Amino acid sequence: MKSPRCRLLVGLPVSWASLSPAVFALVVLLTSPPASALDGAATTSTLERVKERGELWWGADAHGGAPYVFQDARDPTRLIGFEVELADAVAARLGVRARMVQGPWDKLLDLLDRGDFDFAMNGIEDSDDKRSAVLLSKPYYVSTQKLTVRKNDTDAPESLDDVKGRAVGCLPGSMANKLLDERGADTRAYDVQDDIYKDIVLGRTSAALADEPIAHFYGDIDDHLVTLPASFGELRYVAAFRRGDDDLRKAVDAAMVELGKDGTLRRIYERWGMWNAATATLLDDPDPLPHDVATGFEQWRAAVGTQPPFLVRVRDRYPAMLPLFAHGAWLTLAVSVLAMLLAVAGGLVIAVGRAFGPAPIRWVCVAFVELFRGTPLLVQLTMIYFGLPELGLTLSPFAAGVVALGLNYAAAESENYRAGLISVPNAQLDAARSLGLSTMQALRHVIFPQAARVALPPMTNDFIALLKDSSLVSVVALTELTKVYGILGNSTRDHLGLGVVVACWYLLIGLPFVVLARRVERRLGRHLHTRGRR
Amino acid sequence: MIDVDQLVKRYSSHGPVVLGGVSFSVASGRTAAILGKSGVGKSTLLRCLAGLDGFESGSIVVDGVGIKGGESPTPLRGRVGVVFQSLELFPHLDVVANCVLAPVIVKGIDRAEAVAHANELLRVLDVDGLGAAHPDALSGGQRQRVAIVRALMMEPRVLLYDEPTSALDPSLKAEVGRTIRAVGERTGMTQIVVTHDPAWAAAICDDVFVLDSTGLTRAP
Repeated sequence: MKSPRCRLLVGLPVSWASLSPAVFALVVLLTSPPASALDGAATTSTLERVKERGELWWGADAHGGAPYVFQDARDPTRLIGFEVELADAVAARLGVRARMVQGPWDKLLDLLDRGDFDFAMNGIEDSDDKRSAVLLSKPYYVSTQKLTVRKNDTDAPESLDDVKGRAVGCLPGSMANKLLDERGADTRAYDVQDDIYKDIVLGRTSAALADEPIAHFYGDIDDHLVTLPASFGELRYVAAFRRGDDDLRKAVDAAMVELGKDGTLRRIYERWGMWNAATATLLDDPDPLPHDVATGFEQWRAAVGTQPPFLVRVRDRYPAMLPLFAHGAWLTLAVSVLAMLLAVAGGLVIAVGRAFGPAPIRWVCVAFVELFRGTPLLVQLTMIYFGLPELGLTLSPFAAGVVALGLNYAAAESENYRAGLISVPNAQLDAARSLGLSTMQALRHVIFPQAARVALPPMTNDFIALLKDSSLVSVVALTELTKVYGILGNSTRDHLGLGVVVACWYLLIGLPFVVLARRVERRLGRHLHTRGRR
Repeated sequence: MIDVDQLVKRYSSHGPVVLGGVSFSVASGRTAAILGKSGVGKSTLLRCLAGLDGFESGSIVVDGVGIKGGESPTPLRGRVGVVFQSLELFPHLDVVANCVLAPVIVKGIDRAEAVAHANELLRVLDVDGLGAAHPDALSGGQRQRVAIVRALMMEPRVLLYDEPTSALDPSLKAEVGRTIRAVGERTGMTQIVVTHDPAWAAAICDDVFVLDSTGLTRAP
């Protein structure tokens, strides 16, 4: 019987028959090779592929903010920063165009290893432990650590000698973090630069220690804060390459040397207010004082130093961000819907296996549920994206996101369906069988439609939860909605206003599914005459 | 007709014997009662007759189609109809859909044809005009007749009733009895009623059997 009811079980307007092309498409999508910087790696070197492709793919995190790589507050669709200009200049020397590939900062070397881009360049510190894992370029910038405190705070630390026992903010895993720990400070690590400085103003911390450019761009633009002139610990920024890519590293190093000689590097650093004595020494430049106006810094200060009123931002700034948010929302929706399809199909198989299968199948199903329900999604995602390539299976970021979310939620879904199946008396199955229906026919036409009514409300709940959990896929270099918010928030220092915007986007995506689920629920429950039970 | 010979049933291969060699037969068109106290295996016997459970040894033959001990009982399904004690109508389907589900899916009968047949049987049992209602909206008596029609739709050779009068007051018991007689007279169906009410069974049924721990015997 072609009952329309069977389609309600999956909560989507698809019949069993038309579901199979969707599943097929999903399989194709998940197994098709990802766009990788390693395509063709067997026969050619990375440098040859860069020339062939006409593009130099460099990895960085726009979430890291100014002045490295960030969205221009005046035109949020534009990516700017001194490293953007460096990459463009290096690429031009190689006769190609530069293309930035987004990835989380603390995962850049893993992504490099996977082959998501040709090299990483994003304020990466030169260190021995990195040198053992990847190839490093010659340094292109030298930064010191700067201490920023509240103005007029008589109690503020004046040097690293004063930080013992004091709450001091920094970036996690940075040189500042190490220095503060060594001096016995109450170290507070933040993922977002802007937050480090906001918390000093709010009195939650008494100081911040960070790379000079960060202190300049986030500390110096706030009237309540002052960055102390003293410099601590010197560090050098380097680009990272995969082992074996010596030719690319040499080409980039040579380009950098030429850019240093012809004054391009100096012009870039001066524009961003970053020229300092240590970098002058690095580049063999006898003049440690900047001469040009730091236009990059001044434009940043003008754009984000004081936020215009919310309604003005809504009128002038947010419409320009629409394409970025829309793209993030599309990615969030696509990952979530495909993951939910996988979760529904997988959950159904597991629930039926658990309820009606023989003992060995039941054990496998229970083990799957406990494994995927009992371990963090982030761990599963990291294993699938960064771990499986070790076993020879390299999934694209999109596929990895769909698979991780889908498997994790399949465990949750199976429990929803099991609850639904348990709610239908066994005698209903007997009645169907006594009429001659096979077990599969009985499940499909008698048990599932009744179970679906019970399973649907928690299922809707799960889909909304999945929609929000999809923000975790940003760790595998997918710039979905939450990541767009993070990048724009850090690029414009407008966390509250953009928070409202991103919340609206999530509601906009989720609400249609909630409405659809309510309708389906009403349909499944239309035989019930007790109002309260609906 | 239905012919049961030396049927032995245990719950598990080494478990206690529930039915220890039950034999009886009911001729075509007759209505038989199986009486017995609770716990003697009435429901177990009914599940074996309906093809819901297998059994260890013996045989059940329904109009020439039979199964032996150890065999899959599925050939009996549909051939032996069941009206369950709790009826077990499908609550998510309306009356007509309840009736036509199995013929359409299992036998592949055209839906319109099945609906026409269902409406005819509903009329025979005086529950016509309720086809679009869901089971929740029906009275107990109406639900029982719908359950009978649902079973008859598969054109069984034997119809089983499990405790059709339990927990009913005397006037309703009499009505159930009239319904069962009517089914027998109007369709010529062979019927077996499992009950624990000897007086009611004697009044309604052609043959009365008693099931106890020693086996099944014809009542005096």
